[in-house]
Amino acid sequence: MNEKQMKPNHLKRYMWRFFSGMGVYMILLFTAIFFAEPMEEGVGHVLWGVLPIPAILFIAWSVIQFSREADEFARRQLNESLAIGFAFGSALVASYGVLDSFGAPQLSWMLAFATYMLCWAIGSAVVSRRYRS
Amino acid sequence: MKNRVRVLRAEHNQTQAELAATLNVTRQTVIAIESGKYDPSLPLAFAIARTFEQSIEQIFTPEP
Repeated sequence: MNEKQMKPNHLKRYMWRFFSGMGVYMILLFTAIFFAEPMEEGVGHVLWGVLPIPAILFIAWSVIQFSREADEFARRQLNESLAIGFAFGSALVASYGVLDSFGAPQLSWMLAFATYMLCWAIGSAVVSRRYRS
Repeated sequence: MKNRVRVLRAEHNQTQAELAATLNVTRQTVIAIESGKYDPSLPLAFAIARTFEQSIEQIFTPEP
């Protein structure tokens, strides 16, 4: 047992970091879309797309920090939910990738992120149900 | 794996929160261990055994 990893309220802290990161991401994304939409294609247009990236990196950091700070049971639950999310998310994204190469309509890469997040949320619900006492 | 954590905790007049604080884990972890839904790691099992002054084998037994 690593005592440095066992901090109280790690779940609350993680939830705060994760959902505030998601909130900032949404704000930055819609801000970037709002300002980039009227612009012509070019470097300036692409630079607006950089705006939400720090929030995405912050969300990734919050998950890694939770994995480091949580106790072993919470870490087990996180790992299982991530495994479910990654497995089903990858299956869906890869399947559509195959369909796409056979002529299915091309979709936005943003949908891949949304698919992974949705699958992870479903994985979290499944894991939460499994360990419910 | 079956365990006697709930019984031992009651014998020591400890709440789940107190045991969790002693073991430096969350109350959810203690609940999951007591209900048999989660088998603790070896270091945590040793910490539980030390807390109740028993050997691991006296607390944890494999399911038949």
